[in-house]
This record gives sequence, structure tokens and C-alpha cells, in this order.
Amino acid sequence: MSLEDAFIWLGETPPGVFLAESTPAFAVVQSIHILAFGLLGGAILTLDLAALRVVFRNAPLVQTGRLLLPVFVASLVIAAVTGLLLVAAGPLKYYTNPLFAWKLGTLAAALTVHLALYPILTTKAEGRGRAVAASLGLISLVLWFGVAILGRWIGLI
Amino acid sequence: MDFIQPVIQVIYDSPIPTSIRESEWTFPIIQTFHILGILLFYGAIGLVDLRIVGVILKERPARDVADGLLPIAWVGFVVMAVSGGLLFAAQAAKIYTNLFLLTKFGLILLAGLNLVVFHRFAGRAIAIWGGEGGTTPAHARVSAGLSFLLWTGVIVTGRFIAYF
Repeated sequence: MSLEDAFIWLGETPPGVFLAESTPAFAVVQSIHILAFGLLGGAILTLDLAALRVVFRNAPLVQTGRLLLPVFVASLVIAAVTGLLLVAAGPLKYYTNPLFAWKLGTLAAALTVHLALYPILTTKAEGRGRAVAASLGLISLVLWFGVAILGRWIGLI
Repeated sequence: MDFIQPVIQVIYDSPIPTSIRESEWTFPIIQTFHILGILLFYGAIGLVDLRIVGVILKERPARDVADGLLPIAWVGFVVMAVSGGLLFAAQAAKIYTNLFLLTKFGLILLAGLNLVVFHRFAGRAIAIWGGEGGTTPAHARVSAGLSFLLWTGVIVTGRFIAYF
């Protein structure tokens, strides 16, 4: 099965067929996708800014990371499931859209960089470790804005 | 409500909204800023609201969460409001009777009122109840829960404007 076949199959699943036919249902799923994306961004941005020592400066970074992890995981799952449903509603539109691949690639990079922060947090990010954490935080933040911008432009081109 | 239509028309016909409407790129670029503002605002205010309600970040004092994230929420709010105002002005005559737009404006008004009430009754004392080991008063939790639901409603109705 080629990648294109996989996209087509997704569009033929019951949720795909349903969402392709119902504009209100599609708009609801899209809204949930944006809301989850916003909260996911909130969790990511907060830890990134904490690593950059912009927010929560007086709190241990490792605790900030641990407290944000449930928000990160829950909103990531919701954003991923709703994202998959949106693709199922019009799979070929996304398969042929060059920005869709760019968004997924940037998303993968953003999540990788952000998750790379976590193991560093435990090593009492001081001295050189602190600079590494700050750099990862900054890169993660920039990539995250990139994902959001690409997401908007998928619908525009 | 007869006075509204002429006012809307003046806004719609004024130079900046007209140029936004007639340019190929300006509108989507402002839309991009609008979504970035929304994400920044909702991400920050959502975490603060959910902390005050008591769902997340429970080990961190509510006051510290609010102090850290509200400045980010305000930056997001300004970007969101300015870009949103421009997007509305550029389409005002076409969409001012849209049911979802009117609902959205109503929800924004309610969210604003809720904010004023929160600051009047619970916000000023957050330094005390929101400190280390403090207990969040019930009215503060209700207000934060309402804030979360209202802003969620604003985003959902906003998304629906594009479809109906």
C-alpha cells in the first residue's frame, strides 16, 4: 500500500465520510484541533520560557517540566486525533498540499527539540547545561510558531 | 438598530479596510497574526484558568502561575484584538449580521465582564489565597472556569464565522 493509498483509505473510513459531508461537524473538529493546539502551545511555550529563565525563574526547572507534562500529553493526543480526523475529511487535499508535509516535518522537529529538554532538566540545569536548556527552549519556541503558521497556510494555498 | 448599518459601511469603505480587502496577501497575513495571537492568548490564559480551577499545576501556587503567564496572555490578547479588528473592518459590511459573529461578540463581552468581576472580588486577594499552601476560594474557581469556557466559546464561534 502506497502512502497515497493510505490517505485514500483514511478518507473512506466512517469518520472520514461523515466529516466530508458535514460542514458543522468539520468545523467542530477543526475548533477542537485549534483549542488543543493552543493548550499544547501553552505547555510547550511555558517550559521553553522557563528554560530561557523568562518565567518561573525562582522555581526548579525540573518541577516545571513535571507539572506541565500532563497538559503536554493530553493536548498533544487531542490535537493529533482531531488532526487525523481533519485529514480523513479530505485526504487528497492534504496529500497534494506541499505545506502539509512541511507542517508535519516542522512538528516532528519541534516535538523532538522540546522533548530533548526533559532529560536535561533533571541534571540541575546549571552552567553549560543551563545554556543548552535555554538554546533548546528557544529553538523549540521558534519551531512551534512555524508549525502554527504552516497550519494556517495549508488552508490558504 | 438602523444606525448600525451606516456606521459599518463607513468603516468598511475607509482606506485601511479597503486596502486589506483588495490586496491578495494582506488579508491572509493578518489572519496568520490573528491565529498566532489566539494560540498565545488561549495557551496562557487557559493554563492560568485551569490552575485556579484546580485541574493542573496544583503544586505551583496559583499566584506564581498567574504572575508568570498573564503577561504572555496580554501580548497574545493585543495581537489577537488588533488583527481581529482589522479582519472585521475589512469584511464588516458583509458579515456584521452573521449569527456566529454576533454570538462571538456577546461571548467576548461576557468574558470581559467576568474578568472585571474576578478582579473586583477575587483577583486583588490572589496574593493571599494564591500563595504557598493557600486555598482557592469557590468564587475564584467559578470565575476561572467561566473564563475558560467563554474563551473556548469565542474561538469556536470565531471558527464558525468562516463557514456560515
